[in-house]
Amino acid sequence: MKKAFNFKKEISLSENVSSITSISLETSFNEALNCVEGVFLVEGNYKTHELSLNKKEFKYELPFKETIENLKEGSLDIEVEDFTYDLEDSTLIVDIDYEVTYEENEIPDEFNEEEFERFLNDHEVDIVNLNDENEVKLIEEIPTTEEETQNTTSEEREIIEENTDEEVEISEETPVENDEREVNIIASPEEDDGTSTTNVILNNIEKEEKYITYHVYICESDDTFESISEKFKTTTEEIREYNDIDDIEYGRKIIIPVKDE
Amino acid sequence: MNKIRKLGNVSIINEERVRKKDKDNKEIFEYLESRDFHNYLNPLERNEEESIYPYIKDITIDKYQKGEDMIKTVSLLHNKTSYNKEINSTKYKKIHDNIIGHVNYLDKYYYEMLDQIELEEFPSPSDTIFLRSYSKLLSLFDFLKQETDRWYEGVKNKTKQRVVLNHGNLELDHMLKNDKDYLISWDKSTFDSPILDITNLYHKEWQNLDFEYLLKSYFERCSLSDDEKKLLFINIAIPNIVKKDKDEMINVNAMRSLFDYIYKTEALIRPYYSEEKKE
Repeated sequence: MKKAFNFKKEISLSENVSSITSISLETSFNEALNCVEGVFLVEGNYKTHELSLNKKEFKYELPFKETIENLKEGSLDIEVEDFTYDLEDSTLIVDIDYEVTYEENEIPDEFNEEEFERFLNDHEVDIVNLNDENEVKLIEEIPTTEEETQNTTSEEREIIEENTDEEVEISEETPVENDEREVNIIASPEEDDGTSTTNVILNNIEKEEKYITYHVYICESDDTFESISEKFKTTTEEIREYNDIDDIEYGRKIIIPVKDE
Repeated sequence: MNKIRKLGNVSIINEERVRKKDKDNKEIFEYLESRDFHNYLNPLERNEEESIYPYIKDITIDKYQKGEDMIKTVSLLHNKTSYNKEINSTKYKKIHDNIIGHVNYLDKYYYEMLDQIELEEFPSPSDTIFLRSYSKLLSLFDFLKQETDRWYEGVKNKTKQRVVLNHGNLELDHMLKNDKDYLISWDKSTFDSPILDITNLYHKEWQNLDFEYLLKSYFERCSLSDDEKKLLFINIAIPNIVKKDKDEMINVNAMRSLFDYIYKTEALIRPYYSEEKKE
């Protein structure tokens, strides 16, 4: 995408100026959230009188800022097409035309928002903030085998069963029987085609059944395949395979499988 | 981060490209190529009203040396593009009448200035300079009229004129020295007498360059006929019009510059007239 802007500024020079003998314009900029901000550096030389042999220097920094909606991080570039200047009674008038080139954020194809909303409506879903380290740690500690289930604490189970319809009394000493437990969501391998999603999927499974747990993770700006695979105890290859992506982008939602047997 | 530097109507971008509003000189450049003259800068691209050129850094060290190199390049240009053109019988008459008319205009202009100054009780410093040297102006005007008549007598029956491709806008800043000499800014190029380029260069750089040497160098490379030399001396001897400014410092400078020009030009062309007298 390209957008053209114009920047005009009147600069009062500190003394009488007869003529501008040289002038140059440099641009520096940086991205901010949905905007670009930067500085035009105008510098050059002038003479105070037509017959002056001496030239004096001037240097002015002109800040600018423009809103760019839905700006994709790291995609912005600025090109100054041209600038003109005029001198009126020791006031330097600078007129700058510049063009901003940028990309807009896109929703990845493999993660369709409509489908996601439909899935949420069809299933009961626990909304858990996976970017909160405490919650992630707690979820990682949830047992996925019957043995581990027996060792879970009641506090963990409370979190897991937050949205269940039935109240289940939990005793620390009583092992939970898989058959009796209500689960929020179960995704069986047969149903899973890589597109079913949820924020947190618990599996309480029977011994013979195999289920796959998915996390849905919203990528941060400094995330990499390695950091995410380490966080969720999976592999880079699996993340790539399940999401069919080559790189991690800020704001992208990815499916992270956690296999259970 | 990109940087744009302005030089007149030229924009230098990142010290890599130059953007300039100019005419499309493609035909001129093709002609120069056909004449085996390569001391010009071809544009990288051409838009509607402007051309994009590669940036050539001028590595001039000494302006006198640059002036000498410029004369050599201009001599080459004139030699390679020279041909004789059939002319109308009235062509030289027009030139003669134009020169005489302009000299008469200058005569009247400065006479009126003298009239104004003589009315003042206390002439200003610039007026004082003028009053002191006014007689020099009068003798110059007489010389110009006389020489123009003599020149016309020598050419009035001629039916051909030697013409060359004149750059039309010669000055030190319009040549870049790098791997070779590049003449730039060709918008005013025209086929005409070669004295046009020399006259323009003298008017622009008479204070900056040693024209005694440069003229000698040019004549050795491009031999001008006696008529061409006479017309050249007439053209370069014609003074500028000095207009009054509200700033007296500017007036003093302009008036001093006018008479400096007259004296310096007289000293430049006198040797050629002395030779002529001996002959």
